[in-house]
Amino acid sequence: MMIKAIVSVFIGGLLFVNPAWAAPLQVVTTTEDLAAIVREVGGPFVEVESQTRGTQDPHFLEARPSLILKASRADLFIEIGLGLEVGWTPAVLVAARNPAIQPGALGYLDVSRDIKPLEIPSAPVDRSQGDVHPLGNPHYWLDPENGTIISQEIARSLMSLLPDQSQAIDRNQKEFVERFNAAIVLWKTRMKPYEGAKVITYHNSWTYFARRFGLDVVGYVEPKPGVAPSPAHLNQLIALMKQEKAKLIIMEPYFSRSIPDLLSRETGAKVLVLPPSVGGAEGIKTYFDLFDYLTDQLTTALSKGS
Amino acid sequence: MLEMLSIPFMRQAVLAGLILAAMLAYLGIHVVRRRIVFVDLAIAQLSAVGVALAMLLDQDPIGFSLVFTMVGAAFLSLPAYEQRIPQEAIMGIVYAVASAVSILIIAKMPHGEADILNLFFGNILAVTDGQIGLMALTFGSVGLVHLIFAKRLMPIPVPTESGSTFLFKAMSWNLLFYLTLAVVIAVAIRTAGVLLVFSDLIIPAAVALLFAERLRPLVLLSAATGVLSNLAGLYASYRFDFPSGPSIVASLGVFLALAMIGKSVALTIFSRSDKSGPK
Repeated sequence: MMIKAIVSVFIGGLLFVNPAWAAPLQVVTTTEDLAAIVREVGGPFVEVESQTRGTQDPHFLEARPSLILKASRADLFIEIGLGLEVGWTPAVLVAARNPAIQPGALGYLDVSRDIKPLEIPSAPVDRSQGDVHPLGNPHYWLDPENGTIISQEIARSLMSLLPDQSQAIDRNQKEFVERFNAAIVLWKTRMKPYEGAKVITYHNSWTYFARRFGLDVVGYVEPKPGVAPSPAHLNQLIALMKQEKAKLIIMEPYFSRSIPDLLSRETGAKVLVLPPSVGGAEGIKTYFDLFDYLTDQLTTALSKGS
Repeated sequence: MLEMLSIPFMRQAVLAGLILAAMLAYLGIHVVRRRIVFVDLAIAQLSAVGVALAMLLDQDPIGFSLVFTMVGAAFLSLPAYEQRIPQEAIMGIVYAVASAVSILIIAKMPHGEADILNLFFGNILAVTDGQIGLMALTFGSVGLVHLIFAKRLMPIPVPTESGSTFLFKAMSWNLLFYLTLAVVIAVAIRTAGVLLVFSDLIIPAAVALLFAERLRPLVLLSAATGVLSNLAGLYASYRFDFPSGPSIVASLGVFLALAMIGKSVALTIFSRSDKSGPK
């Protein structure tokens, strides 16, 4: 009896002490970008999966059994916040019935808590303004300088759940930031010649990217986010694009091309389909790849003709 | 109105709207008279399934949707074997199941939902010259077929016991009608969307049936209603800043309401004027 107890404590202790024997932390994120950063910071200690594909619109999701199942088994649930996923994560979290990942628990992380949002509305918002996010624009992962903050938040959560790996995680995170900041310098240099280029975007999702890389977004295809454009708005937009000599119409792959094509026919601006997330196009596997791809596509498109 | 026509994309939307209104107004008379009002919803959704399947398999959406739609319409044209389920129930069921199937297909596609969702509301503002050309070509051909075979396609064949030859002939003309309807709908919903195609089909015909009985006045009245409502709807969307498809549908509704009111007012006035002296 005594021997059994000693042996089980010993084996239990071994499992606790040796990370190679312990199962990796199960992490579920709402977007592929978050998953990519979790991989950078968590390394071999985590197994992470994203609930949306990089080609999908993260605002919407039809709750499917597999998503809820994965959430029910997760140790850590990470979302972008600022209302981006407010249409579906509450439902998934309730349906998953997993106390470890409920808001307030250690296993829940809303990365936006340390982000400084842009475009916080100054007046109370309601449905008449379309799909405006009342806490500010949530597409902040497209500013690579927010990558540092995101990785810090993720590291903090991972360290609280895996206290024995704290040192390794901290090292990973600092290494990631160093490499990433060096890459940011390269991307900025690449985009420098095109600073001030005038573009329009389909949805108001490129604010952070535009601010970081000097693009001037002069209008949107959707006058109110989520509401299809009317003839009057299209007319005004065409006039504005001609006046400002807008060069590009930037749209995500999950929107319909018909209106952007119309605008292109009328104004000569080119339609550029850009993925807003990791996994949004062939070959974009990491957070680094995303900005490599975006800056490369933009510089190519902007350099052709004027 | 003239100001609206000075904008190139509005001109194209008006042109597309007129072509659609004329073709659908004519076919609508058939559809309402044959009591198969839901068939266009069913056919439209089958077309959407065809488009979704084409996108999943990376094939040509128009070709796929035409094949799907025509095969589906052919099945719908067969007389009901199960007499206990009315044909309209079958049409409604096909519509619902086809809608669900198209969503299931979309669920497995990385992206492209926007294009499928567009098939419901349509995007008449973004119509291209190519689309207008295709519509003119197909509608013109269908119109020609209906002109040449007008007698066989109307009056509506009713299956009787007077011999299998008659039934077979009646069934094949019936099939021809369904096929022409399928082709028109498959081409039309790419531009106008399911909602607008349905409304352009049924509402002008309903207005015409309030006032006329013979084919020619029916077709003229129906076409006139369709054309005027489309113009009014596009103008309203331009003037008051509304999405175009729903504006046209709402304006069709208004036309019908006015027609019904107008008819009952006219009837009351005429029956009053017949009466002379107290009863």
